Amino acid sequence: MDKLETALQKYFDYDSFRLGQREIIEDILAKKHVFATLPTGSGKSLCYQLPAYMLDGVVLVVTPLLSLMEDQIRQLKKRGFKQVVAINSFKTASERALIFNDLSTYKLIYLSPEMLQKKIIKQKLSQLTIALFVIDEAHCISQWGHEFRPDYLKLNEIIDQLGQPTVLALTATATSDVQQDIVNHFDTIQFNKHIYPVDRDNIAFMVQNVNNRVDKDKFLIDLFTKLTVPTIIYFSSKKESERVALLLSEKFNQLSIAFYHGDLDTNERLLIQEQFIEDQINIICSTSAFGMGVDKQNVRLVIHYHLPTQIESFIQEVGRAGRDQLESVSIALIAPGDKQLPLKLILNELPPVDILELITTHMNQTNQEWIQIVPSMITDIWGLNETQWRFIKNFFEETGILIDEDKINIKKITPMLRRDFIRKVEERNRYKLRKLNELFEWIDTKDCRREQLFKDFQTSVRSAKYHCCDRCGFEVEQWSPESVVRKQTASSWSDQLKSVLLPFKVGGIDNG
Amino acid sequence: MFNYLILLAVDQIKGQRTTASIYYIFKGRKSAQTIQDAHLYQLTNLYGIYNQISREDFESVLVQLSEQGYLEKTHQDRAIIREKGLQYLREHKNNYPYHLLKGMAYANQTNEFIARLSLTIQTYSYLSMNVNRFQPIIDTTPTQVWVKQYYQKNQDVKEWLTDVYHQLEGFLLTIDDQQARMFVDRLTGYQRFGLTIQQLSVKYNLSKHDVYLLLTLSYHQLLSFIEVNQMNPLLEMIPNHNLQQKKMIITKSAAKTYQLILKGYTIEQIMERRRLKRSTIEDHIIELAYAIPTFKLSPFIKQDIFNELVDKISQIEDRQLSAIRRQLGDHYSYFQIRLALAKARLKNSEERYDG
Repeated sequence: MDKLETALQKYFDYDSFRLGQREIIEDILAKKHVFATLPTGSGKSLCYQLPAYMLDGVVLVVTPLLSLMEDQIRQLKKRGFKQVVAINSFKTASERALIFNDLSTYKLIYLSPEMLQKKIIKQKLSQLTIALFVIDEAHCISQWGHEFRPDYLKLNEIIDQLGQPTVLALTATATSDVQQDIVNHFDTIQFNKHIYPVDRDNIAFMVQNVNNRVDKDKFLIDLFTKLTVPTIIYFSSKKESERVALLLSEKFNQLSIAFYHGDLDTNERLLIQEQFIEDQINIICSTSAFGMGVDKQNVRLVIHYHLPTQIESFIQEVGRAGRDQLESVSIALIAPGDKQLPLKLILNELPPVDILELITTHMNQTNQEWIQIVPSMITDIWGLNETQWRFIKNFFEETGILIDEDKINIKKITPMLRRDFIRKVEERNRYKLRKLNELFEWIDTKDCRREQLFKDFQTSVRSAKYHCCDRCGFEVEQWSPESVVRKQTASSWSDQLKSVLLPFKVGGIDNG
Repeated sequence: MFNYLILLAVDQIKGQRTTASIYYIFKGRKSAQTIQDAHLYQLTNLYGIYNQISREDFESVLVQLSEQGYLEKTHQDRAIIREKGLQYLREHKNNYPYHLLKGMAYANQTNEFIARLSLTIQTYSYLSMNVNRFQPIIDTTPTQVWVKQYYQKNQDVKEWLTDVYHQLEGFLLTIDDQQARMFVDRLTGYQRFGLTIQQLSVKYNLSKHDVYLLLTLSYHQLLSFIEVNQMNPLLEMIPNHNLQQKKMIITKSAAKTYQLILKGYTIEQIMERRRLKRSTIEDHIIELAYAIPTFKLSPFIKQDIFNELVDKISQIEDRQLSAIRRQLGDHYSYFQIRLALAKARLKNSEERYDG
């Protein structure tokens, strides 16, 4: 065992590295800049978490995914790594002040890109020795990425201000165009590229066309009559996830089925997540809120009851199946009119085109040149959600209408500028619609689904390790996975109390 | 159970307060008004027993009860009970052990006690299997810190688990069987995570409100059980278990006024010292009169006037201040009437006046 393997064993309890991890970490430790694409669920975060244990100095991780931050921090703390912290908009000013006070005691700091724009944070960070600067979800840099984040464009500057620490740019879903975009953007940084295929050769793909919602339900009932495996079913509506969970619970007494979405409170969400990991729950009916950072190896089946808005999200969600590299299946259920829901989601992400008029009228009541924006204006008066506001904010910053994060000068909003704005909204809209169409073209394709799904992400797609896809002749009937049955719970409360409080006396039978 | 308790509250209040005041009692709002309402209408058992209830949920249950004819929503957001509601209360009187709910006594402690107990059980259960990496089910830092410190003092994991197992088993035998099953289902131990409220609601075919309230009921029963039997190690998990004033639910500002009263300040002196209006100080005194059984009234009202008032008030059914004043005439001040109201519910007249 060499030094790296010893560290892996010591800190993570793993015996060996997964594809790419060792090479990436070796480069990082040798202070080389790295650009890497690794498939979802292949242990991307380990590529900077292990160095955090080994390097002198701080590892900074920029990520737009707030829930991922919290999940990873929970998992690290569970492993006994305590010098980790997240700085994001969830934290109150006083919590942040506390963090700043002992910022130097942390080894791993997660930051949202927005936070990194704040003067106070930049100043605090410049006092630290940054050993590694991680750009997670690096595709957010690219205008052509599916989740473009304008604040990512400013990372260049910050890296320079921090004295050019070693940079690790990571992504799981970047087409080759986007990859090029990322590398070009950091023109002063010489990247060592580690491009690993994002295709998953242990997952078989299938699209099932049905007539309507009732048929989708019927398909699920037929399917679960035949097999019981750890399953995630994705929905884009909270209500529907609850409805189907209830329906399936009624049909399958012996199975445990739960729903999961953003409205559940944190503790309840945590319980559902852990029950699923422990195989106490067989089927999760969930919105896209579920999955990120859930480290479950044996998910055998991912079903899309509704489709997301783009191929990248689809790949990410499907990728939660078969992390253990064993045979797994993806099924997408499609009915006529299924495009409407994602279409609505897309329209909801962009601000209404007449929003600038509303803002001008509302702000016109004062005579000051620069007016401060309060968060309640954004949501309550202008009626904007977070994504919509981010879009407007970026436009305002680019055109000099907004400075210092929250000061706005409405006199600069001219008719010409309004036209520019509308053009920009429409351009983004067209782009999003194109992404949606791509996904639906994939649904309609007559060719091999595996090839079509991954073709934009890598030059060649590996052939399937088990079954390939319905276009290549796969049918669910050919799949006979081993059943993972729910752990039996004791029948009387007193036996159950015993297994909770006295597991060391109960022995192996009740504990599966 | 939620329906029963709401109807009970509506029946006690008799339209003299808005329905929002009932919501605040369930929620356990720490305001002088809510605390007084709970005392005045003898709803202290319900105070703070459902602090997770949302306004929307509460309103929709009210609407349902109204549509089903159990109560009638009247003007100005008030509600009065209907015959069908009264009948429901009579029929279910023995189904719900209302008297075992101890809202006012435990509102401040229940959640934190259960958080500590659950996390300690989970931690010890994993440690007993020599696993020290697990996902803690309680995500709040103060509780985690508490459990860590607790472990420093109680490191014999298996002995602790065995003791607590016997104590909990003993306790669960004393309560309703369904409650006992739900209590255990909710617990997390080694490789076995507890059920959510939603899952319990499906399993026992109850509304999520009833699940929550039945759990709260069990927790209150457990707290009483532990205190009566002075049962360690569970006793020391109760927040502030060794403090006498833990059972006082009063606002911070009233507490400050109380300290000055104990030092012998008059109302005028307190007004000056705290730069507050007389009416505010009077509100505090009323609040204290409700919350503290031993609170002495002698500095604020003469004994003969007090006795006279208590006597007269007991003959008036309406608990609304303006109505009482109307019937008594301008003879007494509002402050005097409120003081009398606060103490009139105590049986012994000596106790009433001077603790």
